[in-house]
Amino acid sequence: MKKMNKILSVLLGFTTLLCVALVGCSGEEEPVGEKSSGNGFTVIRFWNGFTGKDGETMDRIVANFNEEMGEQYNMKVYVDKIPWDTLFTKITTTSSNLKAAPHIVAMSASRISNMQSRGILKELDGVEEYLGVSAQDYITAAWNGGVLSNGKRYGFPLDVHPTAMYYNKDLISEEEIPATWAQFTEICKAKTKDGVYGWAVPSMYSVTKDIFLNMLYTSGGRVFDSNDKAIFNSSVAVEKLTNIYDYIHGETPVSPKDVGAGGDFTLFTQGKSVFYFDGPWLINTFGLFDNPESNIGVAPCPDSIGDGQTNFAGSHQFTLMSNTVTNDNIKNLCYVFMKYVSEHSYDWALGGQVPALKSIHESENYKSLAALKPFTEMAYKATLGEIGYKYWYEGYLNVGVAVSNACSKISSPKDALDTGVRDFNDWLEDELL
Amino acid sequence: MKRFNLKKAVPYLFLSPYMVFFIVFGMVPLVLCIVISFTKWDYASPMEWYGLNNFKLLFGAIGSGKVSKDFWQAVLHTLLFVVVETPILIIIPLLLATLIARCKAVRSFSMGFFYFPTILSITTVCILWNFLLDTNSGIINHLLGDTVPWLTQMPYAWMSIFFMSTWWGVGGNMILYVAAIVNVPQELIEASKIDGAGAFKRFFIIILPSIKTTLIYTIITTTIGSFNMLGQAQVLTAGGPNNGTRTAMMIIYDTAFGGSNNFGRACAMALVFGAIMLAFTIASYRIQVRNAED
Amino acid sequence: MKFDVSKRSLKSRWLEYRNNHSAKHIIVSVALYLALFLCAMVILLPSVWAVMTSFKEETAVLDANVTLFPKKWILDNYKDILANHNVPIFTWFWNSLKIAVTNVVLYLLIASMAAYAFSRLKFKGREVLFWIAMSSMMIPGVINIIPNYVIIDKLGLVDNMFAMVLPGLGGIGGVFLLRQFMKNIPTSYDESARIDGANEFQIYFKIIVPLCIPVLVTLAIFTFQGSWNDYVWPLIVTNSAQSRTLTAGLATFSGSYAHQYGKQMAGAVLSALPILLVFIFGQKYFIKGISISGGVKG
Repeated sequence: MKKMNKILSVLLGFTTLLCVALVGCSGEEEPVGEKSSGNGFTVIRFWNGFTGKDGETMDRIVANFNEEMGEQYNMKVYVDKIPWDTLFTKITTTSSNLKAAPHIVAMSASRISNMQSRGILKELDGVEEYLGVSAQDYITAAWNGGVLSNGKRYGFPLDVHPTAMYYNKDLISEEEIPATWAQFTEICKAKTKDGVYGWAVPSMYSVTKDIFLNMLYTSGGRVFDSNDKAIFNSSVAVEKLTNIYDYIHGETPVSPKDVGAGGDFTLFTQGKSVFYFDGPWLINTFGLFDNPESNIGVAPCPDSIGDGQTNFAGSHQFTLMSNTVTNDNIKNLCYVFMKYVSEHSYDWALGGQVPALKSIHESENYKSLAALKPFTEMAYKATLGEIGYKYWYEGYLNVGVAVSNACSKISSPKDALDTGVRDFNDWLEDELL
Repeated sequence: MKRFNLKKAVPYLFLSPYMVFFIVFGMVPLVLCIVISFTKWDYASPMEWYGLNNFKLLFGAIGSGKVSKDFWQAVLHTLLFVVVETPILIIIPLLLATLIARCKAVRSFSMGFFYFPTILSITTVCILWNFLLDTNSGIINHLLGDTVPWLTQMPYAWMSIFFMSTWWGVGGNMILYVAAIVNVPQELIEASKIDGAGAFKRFFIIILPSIKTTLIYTIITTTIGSFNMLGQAQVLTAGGPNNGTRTAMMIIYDTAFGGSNNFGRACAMALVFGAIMLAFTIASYRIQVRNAED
Repeated sequence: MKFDVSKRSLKSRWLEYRNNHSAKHIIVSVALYLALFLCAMVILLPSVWAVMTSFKEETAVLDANVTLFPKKWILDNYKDILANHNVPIFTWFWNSLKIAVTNVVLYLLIASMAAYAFSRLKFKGREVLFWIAMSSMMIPGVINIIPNYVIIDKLGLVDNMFAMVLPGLGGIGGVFLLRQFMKNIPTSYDESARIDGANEFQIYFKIIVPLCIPVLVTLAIFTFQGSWNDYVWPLIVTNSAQSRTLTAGLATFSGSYAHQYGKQMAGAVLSALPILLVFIFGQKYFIKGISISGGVKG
């Protein structure tokens, strides 16, 4: 009997302890930032998915902002960086927890319309007047990327990131760098010999779809028409995808077959392919800022910077969250921060991005970053695609599958694109039920 | 009288700490999932009652049939993975464990070797194998002197996933079997030796029955684990080529957290998939355990 | 002297073995161990390659002339990660350790108590309760992220280490594993203890738990490892770099090392090392299992 009671008390005590631990811990640690809001300054939480060199750079810019501007505006910015896919999940999970939810989120311009349609984003009304900025200050694609088809602005431009052409100087001379896709094809054919390829075309979901879109937009094609109808199986699209297909499976291939994710990078690094396509962040991977004498050079994509030409690029934008930015005071503080970052985005360029603010490009410091020049030139001629359409991102994913299927020779370029459009339309029908 | 009651309460006292957590973090989410499956909800917009539409969509009763086709195709891929990989992850570790368990010297160092891959995170494992299996510059093809498209063509993509999953997963079940086999009483084994039973006979007559409960555990958890396969397909092949390695977990994940955050539909998928998993697990448990018992 | 004895016994053992077994049997045994060796090699080589890569220069990793071992051994990959002042690696390491150890201790206690009830105590609704808990395994975990966050938030545990401990304590896997092992222990043990006047708690703690040490160690390794390697959930429930775990923290820097296999593998080795230590430490207790159960059952 006594023993029984003893055990009971031990077990009950243990259960109680657990419950106490559960409840008790809550008061132990306040989330960072909340503590300080009592001291009279406003806390702004800024989330982004920059997990590379760019993330380190952004941390530094934010630290500088807090030091230089924090006192004047009586505010402090807390930055948190999380890999992109988890970031979007986290935004949704914290949406009900206003103590933890962010005020500012940097995201790809292509996600804005979808997020806005679900009421997550706050309109950036009056941002131009408040900050005294206008369209001519920013690269056009980035500036327009924040405005949706309803004419309202939801994104404030941070940068543009085109895909440019890296080349191996040991395998090709400066004079031979192609300016058009026709020249590119010729030079690739000429260089493909003795185990060296012109361009190792990745066939898995990868940069190849961006190159395809580059070709498509340069030739006047589009992914969606003005009525939001998927048209990426147009004849010009089939023609462009066939060109890529021929690089791998044509009569004189310039690429090995079945290049996987990262396989193009390895072959390029090993000196087995002349060209390699990627974004500006690769400048840091190759160390081109520190070592301009490197055997790796970079040039604009073919057919991307001349008159009447364009190229497909991405853009990061600042967005405000509708659940946390609830009054003009907070909104204006966010504006101040966005402008500061954009004005100090020379640092951002060092992280491997093209700042959207044009005046940055005029500075001597920026001009000395030779490796960034081709990207900057491309940014001025860039298009972001039909990102105002709510389902652009899904369409873009379907383009990716189609390109991959053609490159892997699973279906012909035409069949791949036709299937892609059909799949997208079917998906949309189910989505809109 | 009082004493009687107390005694009856003892089992529940042993259970109560676990049950607290099970109810809060196991049952509550399950009930929520069932509720959400009848709605159309993307977290941000208000929840919208959707009736049975999510389920109708999955069974192709409404809509274009695309969602239904994708889902069932992914379920088939998962079933393929379960049917192939589960027996591999049961049999190979069992053989390895039998070979090393009784020999202390071999056991102590080889367990570490076999277990090492298991401690790596799936992301690391995929980065590693993505590099090793690359078609044109991967080490495996270098050794084979060939350009096998391990990750970009069928059926190689599946072979790679099977191989990598085996490499990654062998260690876990193996140490469980070792733990079970070292607990088989030595006298039983000695007795069978005296009776003149050979190693094979001994394995089937003494060892297998003695570790039956562990076997049941590994059969059930490995089956469920295989049903939950996500990382391999997501990181190694990205569901490709042509969505050929897209698994049910991947489609549920994409539906819930991909571009459109269709959480109601994802919950419906999870429930239907859960029911399939339950049926399959019970069936395989019955077949394998009954057979073992007979 | 000792060496001599064992040597002689080895030889005499071999002769005894040779006399008692047919040539066929010996050949089969040799073939089996050969297969084991091959299997070990297949499993070992990629692991060795991964570890060796972390000591190679990037150019050597991508070199077309592949070598298993580095031509030039370097520690720069490790130094770079450890010296990156943006990576508070020691804070993360400490967080991970705290969380994983708490997880292991609490889960082993809670799960073994539940397993004891499910396997050795008789009460109403035992099987029903157990199988309800088991069926919770059928619901894909990703679906639980949202509800679990809401619960953690309501408990006020966001950014708290217990947010990364508590949800795992409701898992049935470990309970199931322990229940399976406890079922195997002959009831004669409990009976004789009960006759000696022991109560349930004493039986659980003094008899059953010691007999389950090998499987408890295994479960401890699994739990430690699961807690250590998880990164999505820690990212969801923490809002500051300071409260992250090592795996989650390194994920926020993964982009810095894209295409840099040496650094990625160095990061992987660093985060795998503690689990490996736990494993090596725990392995000792497998042998203990034999000596305890050696004298019983009959």
